[in-house]
Amino acid sequence: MKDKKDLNAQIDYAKEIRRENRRKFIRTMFSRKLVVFGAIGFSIFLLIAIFAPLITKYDPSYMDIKAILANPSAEHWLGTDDFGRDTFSRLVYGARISLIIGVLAVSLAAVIGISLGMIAAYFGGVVDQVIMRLNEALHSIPHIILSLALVAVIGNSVADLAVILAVTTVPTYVRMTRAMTLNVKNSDYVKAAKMAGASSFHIIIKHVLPNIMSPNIIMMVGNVGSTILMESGLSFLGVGIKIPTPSWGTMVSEGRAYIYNNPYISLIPGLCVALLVICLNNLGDGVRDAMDPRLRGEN
Amino acid sequence: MSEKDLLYIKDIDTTFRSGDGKVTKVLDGVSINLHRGEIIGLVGESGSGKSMTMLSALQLLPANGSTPMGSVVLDDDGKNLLDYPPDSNAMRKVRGGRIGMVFQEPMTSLNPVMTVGDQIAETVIEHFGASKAEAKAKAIEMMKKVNIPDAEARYSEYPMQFSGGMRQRIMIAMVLAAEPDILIADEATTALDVTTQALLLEMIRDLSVNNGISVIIVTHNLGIVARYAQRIFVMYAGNVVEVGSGMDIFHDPMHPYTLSLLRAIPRLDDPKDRILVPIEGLPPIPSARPNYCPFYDRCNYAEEMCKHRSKPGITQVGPGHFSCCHLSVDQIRAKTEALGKQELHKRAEKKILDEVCLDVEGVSKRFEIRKGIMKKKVAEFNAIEDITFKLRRGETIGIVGESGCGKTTLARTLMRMYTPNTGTIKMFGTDISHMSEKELKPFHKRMAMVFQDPSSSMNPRMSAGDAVAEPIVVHNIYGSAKEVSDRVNELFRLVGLDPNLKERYPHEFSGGQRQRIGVARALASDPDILILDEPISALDVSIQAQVINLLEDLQSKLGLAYLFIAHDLAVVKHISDRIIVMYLGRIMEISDSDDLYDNPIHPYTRALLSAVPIADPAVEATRKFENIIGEVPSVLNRPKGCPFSNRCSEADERCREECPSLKDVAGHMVACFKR
Amino acid sequence: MLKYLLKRIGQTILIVILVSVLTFFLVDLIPGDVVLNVAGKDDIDEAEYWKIYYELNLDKSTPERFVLWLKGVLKLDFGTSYIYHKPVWDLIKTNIPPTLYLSLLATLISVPIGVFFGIISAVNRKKKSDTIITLTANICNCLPQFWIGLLLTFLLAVKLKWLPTMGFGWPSKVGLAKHIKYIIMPLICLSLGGIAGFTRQTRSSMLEVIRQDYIRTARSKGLSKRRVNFKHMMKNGLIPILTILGGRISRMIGGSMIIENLFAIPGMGVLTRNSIMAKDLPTIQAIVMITTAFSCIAFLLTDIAYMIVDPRISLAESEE
Repeated sequence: MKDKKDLNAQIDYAKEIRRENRRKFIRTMFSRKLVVFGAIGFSIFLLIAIFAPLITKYDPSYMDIKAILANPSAEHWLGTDDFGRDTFSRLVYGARISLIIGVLAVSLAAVIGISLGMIAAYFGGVVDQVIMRLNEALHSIPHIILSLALVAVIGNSVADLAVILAVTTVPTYVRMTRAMTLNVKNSDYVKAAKMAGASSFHIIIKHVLPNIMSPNIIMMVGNVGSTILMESGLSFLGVGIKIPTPSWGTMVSEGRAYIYNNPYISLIPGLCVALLVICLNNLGDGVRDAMDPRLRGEN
Repeated sequence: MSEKDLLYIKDIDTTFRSGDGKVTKVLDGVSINLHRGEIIGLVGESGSGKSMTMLSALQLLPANGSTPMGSVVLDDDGKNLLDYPPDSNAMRKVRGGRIGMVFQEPMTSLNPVMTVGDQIAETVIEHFGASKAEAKAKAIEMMKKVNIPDAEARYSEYPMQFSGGMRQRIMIAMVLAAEPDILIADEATTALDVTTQALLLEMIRDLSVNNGISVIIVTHNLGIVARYAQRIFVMYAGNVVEVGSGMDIFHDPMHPYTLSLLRAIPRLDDPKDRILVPIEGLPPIPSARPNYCPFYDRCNYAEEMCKHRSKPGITQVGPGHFSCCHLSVDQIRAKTEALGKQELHKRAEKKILDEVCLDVEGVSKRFEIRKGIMKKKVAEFNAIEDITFKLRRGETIGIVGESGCGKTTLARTLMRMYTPNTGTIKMFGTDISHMSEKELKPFHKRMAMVFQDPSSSMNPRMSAGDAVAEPIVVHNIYGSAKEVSDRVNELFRLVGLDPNLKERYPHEFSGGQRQRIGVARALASDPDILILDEPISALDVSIQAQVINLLEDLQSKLGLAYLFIAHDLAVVKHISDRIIVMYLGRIMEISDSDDLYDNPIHPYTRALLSAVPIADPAVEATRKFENIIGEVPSVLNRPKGCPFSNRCSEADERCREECPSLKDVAGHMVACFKR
Repeated sequence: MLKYLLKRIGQTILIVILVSVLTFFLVDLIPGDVVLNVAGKDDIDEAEYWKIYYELNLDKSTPERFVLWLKGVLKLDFGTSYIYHKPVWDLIKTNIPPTLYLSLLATLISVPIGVFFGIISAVNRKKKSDTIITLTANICNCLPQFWIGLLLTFLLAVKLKWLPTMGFGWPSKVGLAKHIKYIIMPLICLSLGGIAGFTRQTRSSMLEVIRQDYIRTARSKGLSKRRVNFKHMMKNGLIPILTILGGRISRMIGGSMIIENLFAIPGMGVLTRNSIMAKDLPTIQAIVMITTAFSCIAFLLTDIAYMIVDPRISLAESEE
């Protein structure tokens, strides 16, 4: 009976410690004003993306023939573009596309990159050589050229672009994961586990993965921003997201021609890209701080 | 302050401001005086403020540190150095010009992208306004003075081309180039091998005697101050707690901390049944130091009043002997006597059985160095060669040696992380030297390892409980989660930890606690043999005794056999029954631990023992440092015959050509032709 | 040291070969009939079809075709552009100079300015100037180039009418004044990100060096602040900047794509975009190959530069 009580007390104690750790994490993360700003900004973008249909009454690809290139009015808050599509709704739905592509591409790249990096480092030898040489080859083709060439081959739907942007960022994950895995692999605690007779599977799950995740997560948060930037660039070049899907980059590119009459058609979507990326990067800085045990003020 | 004082550091306070604006006091009124031509020692554990005192005096603190109180006076001229701005000309003339400092880390303290010669010459140019050619000549002269061979040729080499000992010599040359009055050696030899350390310290002493340089040796090693320092300052938690001559400090210590420290550390000349009395607890961290005596919480001399009175001031307890304690000399003496009678810790009983746990015979491990794209083999060497010994149940064998002696390779080969190239490793009669991983699994259960650095041997992302549970889970020893959890609790209690700490992560423990967790993890699969690879060398001296006693208790409770690897001879001698002395991969001597100090036979063993300073100036006065030639070479350059032949004063042709094997000499196993 | 160099050159060649294989198979990966892709239309007659078929060596096996293609590439013969009907190499030869010229100028502008701000920021750590510089650099790092370009166009060209909205001309053709007017906006766009990048890198590596033991050693010798900063800190602190400098040089041909398209500069960016839009395969292949080779050489040069400035690298290689 006493044992049982003991056990319960221990479990409560464990829960308390976990709660405390979570609190510390949150506190460190939001200890800087810029991070709070980033988090709030990002949340706003996220809400807009999720509730897009509730925010605007127009379908982003609906063409109002009667109102082509209309100036801002009560009907069309930010006016319309050259096809009579409502700029505001396209902006709102554009947030969706940017975030979807950003998150999708980064998740894909991280999953592939982390797996390959771990495999290369853990098994070494020929496997390592093959993965790393291919990785270097991929890394040495300039990103924008690679994505352009891949667009020509694969296509430019939202999913295609996510894959393409993922391919260009995979090498960074592979490199980092490999280096970190090698570190963990040579650590004394892995030696101890091996000598205790632990299997490779056990070591990868219990030792390697938990130790390589935080730098990867930090990199992922940062990469969402740069991926969104890249996507908008491709769309700006006219090789990004297929028309008529609303993309901020495409909107800038299409609005360019009207810079004399209505500069906002092009300037505002660009500003959205910039703001979203700034928010994401600041949020990323917060995540980095929170994951650094030195900064968490552990003692 | 007397007339003889060259440097007088008086009542300095040093504070650090952390990122969130909190101010922490790391030094709390430290006073130190240094006479002309004198060597003083500043001893204390990590965090005691000994290095910080030196950095404060020289205004070398990091940007967030400052010294708002106190004074530093040189030459008794009444000028407070702390009044000068840190980068002012006046301060720089003192720092580097009058007082030079050698730092602990030889690997990182020299600029890696600048040649060593230029780094020395730079000092000459700065302080004497010499021309480049003059500076170079002077730099080469200094390099010769600190015994760097081929000084001219090595002038234009980079720091990474030098060994640790050589780099420290360069640091010293750099300091000497400015012809200073004071040399500060801040843990300058801590990272070096024992024989290298001794050579370097002897050189510093000679410089002091011949050139009249005053020296401040900052160290945690009581032996070093006992051997070299004329006066000693003992520091604890940002305070000087006791000052006195070597005889005062080691034969008539008056501060409870000094007394406790001397009871906690093993000495090379200890009698067989010496009991170590650890200092319980940890020093207070700077931000949480109490208003009362900082040692109160760990002090077993403390009285109720100590807690209610403010921090004790320094009082004279004898001629030139000062201590910081509320208790009177008589009270301390009486208590010391009482404590001596009381048996605090009974030394664990030893039962060595005849059953042989580990029978190692003729084991060698060869490594190859491969280079280039084709991975062509360019060299190979035996990291360990012809290792033979037997380990019995309940016995502790200590393995000592300097860097490159192969002690870690031996441990790993025995654990079968490496497969030996020759020889057999028999565990309870079964040869495991060439078993596959699968066949090894049951044997791995019976042999476990404790690692050196408790911070890198714990997975930072795994809770202490999970780490200890790992071998149990892997070996599937207990079925249910409850049973595993119970076993982990039991193990925690066994190593003296509260099972409530299970959910904590490694960084939340102190170094000593982490090492206890390491021991608990090793014990989890209920092994018969523990291989301990430098298990206490990363711990502070007052904590070491706790772990040593724990290991001894566990051995007598569980009947374990230990293979205890360390470079600290005193610790090895204290804990071991037999000692194996290794050098460049070969066994030089195997001896009973009691006999080793009194009767070392192999020339290397003698040199090694004489290089280890003993924490007793009276004993030190009678000992002679056996001169040993040069530093430990890399294993790659092992001499052809006896590995020690190129440094041995007795070596002859045969020694250089042939490798002696172990033979019985007066009860020791010795590998030497001359014995 | 020489061995290491040879090893690195070997690695570089291997990478270029790998990329060439990948590039070659790009063509096979594009959906649809290669011949029709090349012709650019579906309704071609039989004779024309077979003519293209044999021109492309489609009767030969894939490895043979690869070897033939590679042989051509080594002689800078990348085939004929489908849309411009000119040898691809000629196209590249005419399009590369404006791109290289602008990128080089932008790099020359960004390095000193970025390093300067980085040092100011590191030396005044946690002071107001540091906060402002860091914040600005972080924001500039997030701004899309095209947006900066458009904003500048709107302000300087549309509103103030100081500069032409787009276009490019060499001084020999349009005169120096006009030339400068053309390149001001593209240069600002291309440099801003670079300045931000160099500032951030300089700051962080300088802060890293300040904490090193050897800086404390240098100060303990009584060296003047100037000497510690310039002799000990700068040399160590500026080494990591080579990495981003190398990265920037490696992107010189491809990196100005957006700006070239925005300002209608007849460079590689415009050529790339047009060939992608028209699926002009030989040109795409050539661009991928050339940009990759260029970036590989840039990385190689970075490593060599490292070997020269940092003795640790060459020593580690020769001792290992």
